[in-house]
Amino acid sequence: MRRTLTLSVVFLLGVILGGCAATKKQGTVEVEDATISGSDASSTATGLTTGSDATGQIITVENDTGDADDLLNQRVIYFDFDSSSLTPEAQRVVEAHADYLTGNPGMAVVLEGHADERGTREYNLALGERRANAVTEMFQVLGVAPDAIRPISYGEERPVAMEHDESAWSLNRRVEILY
Amino acid sequence: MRTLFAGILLGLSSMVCLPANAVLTIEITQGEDSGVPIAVVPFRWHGAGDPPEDLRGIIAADLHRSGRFDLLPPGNFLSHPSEIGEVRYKDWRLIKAEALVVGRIFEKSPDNYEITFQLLDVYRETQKAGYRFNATGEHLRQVAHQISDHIYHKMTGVEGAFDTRIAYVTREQQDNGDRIYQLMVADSDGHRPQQILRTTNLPVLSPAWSPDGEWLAYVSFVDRRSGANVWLQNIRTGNRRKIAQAEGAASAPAWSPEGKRLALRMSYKGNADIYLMDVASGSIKRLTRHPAIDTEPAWAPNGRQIVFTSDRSGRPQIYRVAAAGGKPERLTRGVGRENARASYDPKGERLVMVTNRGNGYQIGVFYMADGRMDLLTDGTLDESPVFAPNGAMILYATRLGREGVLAAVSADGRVKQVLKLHRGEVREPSWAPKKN
Amino acid sequence: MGRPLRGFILAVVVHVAFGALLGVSLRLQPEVVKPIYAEPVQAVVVDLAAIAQEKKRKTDALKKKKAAEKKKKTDALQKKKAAEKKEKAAEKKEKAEELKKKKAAEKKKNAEELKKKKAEALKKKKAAEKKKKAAEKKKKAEALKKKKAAEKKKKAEALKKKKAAEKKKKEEALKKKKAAEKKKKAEAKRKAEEQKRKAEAEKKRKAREKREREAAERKAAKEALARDERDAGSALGALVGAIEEKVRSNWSLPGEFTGLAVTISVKVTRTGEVTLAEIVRSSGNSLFDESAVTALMKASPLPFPEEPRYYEFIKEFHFVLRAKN
Repeated sequence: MRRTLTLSVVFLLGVILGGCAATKKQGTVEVEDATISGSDASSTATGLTTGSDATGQIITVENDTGDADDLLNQRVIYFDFDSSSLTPEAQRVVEAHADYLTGNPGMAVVLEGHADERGTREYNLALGERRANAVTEMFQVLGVAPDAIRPISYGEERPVAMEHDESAWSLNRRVEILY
Repeated sequence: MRTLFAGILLGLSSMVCLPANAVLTIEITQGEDSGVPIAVVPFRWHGAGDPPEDLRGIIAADLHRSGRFDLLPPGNFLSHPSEIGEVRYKDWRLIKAEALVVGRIFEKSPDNYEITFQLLDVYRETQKAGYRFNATGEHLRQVAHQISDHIYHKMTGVEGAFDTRIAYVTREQQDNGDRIYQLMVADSDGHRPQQILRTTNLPVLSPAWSPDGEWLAYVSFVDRRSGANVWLQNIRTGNRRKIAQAEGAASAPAWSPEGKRLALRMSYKGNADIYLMDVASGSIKRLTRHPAIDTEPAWAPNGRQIVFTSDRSGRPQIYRVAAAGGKPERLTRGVGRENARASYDPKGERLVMVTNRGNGYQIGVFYMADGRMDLLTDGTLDESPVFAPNGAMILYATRLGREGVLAAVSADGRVKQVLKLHRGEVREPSWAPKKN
Repeated sequence: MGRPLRGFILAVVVHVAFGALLGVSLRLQPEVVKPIYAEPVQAVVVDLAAIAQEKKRKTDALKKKKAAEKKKKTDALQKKKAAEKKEKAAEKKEKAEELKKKKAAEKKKNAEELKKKKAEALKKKKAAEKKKKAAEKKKKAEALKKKKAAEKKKKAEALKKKKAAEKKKKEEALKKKKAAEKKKKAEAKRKAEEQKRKAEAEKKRKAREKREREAAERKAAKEALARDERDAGSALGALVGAIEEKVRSNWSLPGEFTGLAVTISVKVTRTGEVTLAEIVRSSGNSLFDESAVTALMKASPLPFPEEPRYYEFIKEFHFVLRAKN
């Protein structure tokens, strides 16, 4: 809750201080957009979830117009089985965060990589690490400073869904972006 | 139909032939294994009150778990001898016992016991083994396991592994959502568990016994913002130290046979590779150099080769590399679409590993000589297999309903037994080497 | 004997010889020489005068002795001579007497002989006279006899003639009879021989038949034996399945022994009880071998054919127990 508030304050500050001449990039967080207001805060409040206590629903919002807020609200990136490559949606989310981070040099993120339970634990530890690294690389390509990113892996040790079927597994194959 | 009849006739007549002056021979091929029928008589108790331990129960459970014996039910015993002089062999031939175990416990003084036992051949009416032990109450279970080892060795020619210890990880979910992890050490039958480590919400995995049985290496996390690291902890004192400086840098520890080095997975610039570390000095040497994931190293008993898991060919498979360095060669070909977590048997002839043939993950035994793999289990999420110190059994983690449990399977896959160990989930077994 | 065998024997002999020599030489130890101890001699003081006196005494004594002996000898000799003289005289006397006796006897004899002769002469004379008389008598008698004889002769001849004629007749009849008998005999003999021949032929035939019959019987017996053997085999064969099953179900192996096989020789009683289970060819693994023997001991008694005459063929046989592959 506090984080949400801080973020909103930061946005507003950015709006005020940044000026209206900021360029509008496709699919990135549009910080100058005037529609950012209380309504966004609420949606942010409700929409924003952190991966670490994700027991409820995770809402994936796909918007062709690349609603910047929604993307930034996305803190979890999903992967296909045994894969660490980023889907186009994932890439959009990463870009949104990268943008934010480059714009806020003092911020740092922990990228927590995870895997589903299939396969051995050590292999999954390395797979989670690989996923976190894939996101890290993308961040770096997008200009984020290396010391603003800390990739770690929990392998299969901290699943969000406990069932033993594809619906659960697909939710566990993820990287969480933790500020 | 006629050919069938002729065939049967020919077959029968070929089985029993009497050409002039030849010996009549009947050939018999072994049928289904059922284990050697053995009767273990409850040990006679000489002391006050109830006997301190059910030695018979411990021995029978050991022998049963090995898969090599068919334990005859005590309800069928016609007599209850406690030493060879009291035995009427006819009674035991009647129930088709081939071997007979009799014994006694004497209470010499409070908490001071003398235990004797004899292993007898029922059809030849001879003694195969007999020993006397002295122990206090807390060591009686160990005495029973030693007796099991003697019996096993005499009957199968293979050393027993019952007087050994195992380590494993448990996880319990609290009501408030916290997950408690424990690293436990217990007897090979799961009894007498001791807690070695306890964490809250910090997973523990990959425990590995040092060859002298004094240390456990394991993987855990410093805090919730840190990656995996490896600790070495002394079993008796509880002292421990972290071996890698950077977080997220190390996991999958494996002790070399002489106990001076560890093989590990370490990640440099995001790339998981196999490294060797000198335990005393901490100096490291890089063994694999490949962008793929290389992890789960395991030493050959001769200390000269290391097998490991790598997905450099696309999916995880088992590779082998010389500990001195060199080009890794792939071992698992045409045996499963995925293979991982391989470890050697004590003779260096087989590997046990996790294998996937298309319907989940099972435990397989891979033969170095001809590259074939035998499936030992039929679960869907079986993992972390480890050989017993005598190579005759394999301990692994599996699911029983909703629970994660440990199970033991005989190396020929015949007998499986689930170990009832703990509340909650049990996983990641490791088997301590036999102490001399 | 093959070359190598000879060579071997030679080598052994040489070795034994050398060994013997060595042994002997080893036994020729130097003998321990025992030192000889001389006995101490007692020394005696010597007196020369006494010695000379002693010497004289001795020689005198010797002389005396010799003289005495001489005298003794001559006395004896004398006595002997005298005795001999006496003996001679006696002998002479005896001889003279004997001669006298002899002469007297001769005289007597002569006188007797003369008497005898005279008597004989007389006898002779008388005998001659007798003879003469007898001769005359005889002559007369003979003349008479002659006469009678001539008559007799005439009669006899007539009789003889008659008899001869009869005899001839008889003889001829006899001859005829004899001939007839001979014929008959010959006939009988022939018949007898023929019969004998027939009998022999018959005997031979019978003997041959007997041989053939016996041969046929032996053959039949052999075939029956072979048939029994086969039947025993197939009777056992019919039970092989049951035997296999019983042994297999009693066989438990304490481990994996792929590829191993052991051959065991088994002796059974008539009811199939295993009395002996001996390893003929080991598998190389003693635990495996022992488990197979135990299986046989446990499976006893084996399902076994009951027919008593089969027993000899199947009372001992082999089991090969083979591990799974």
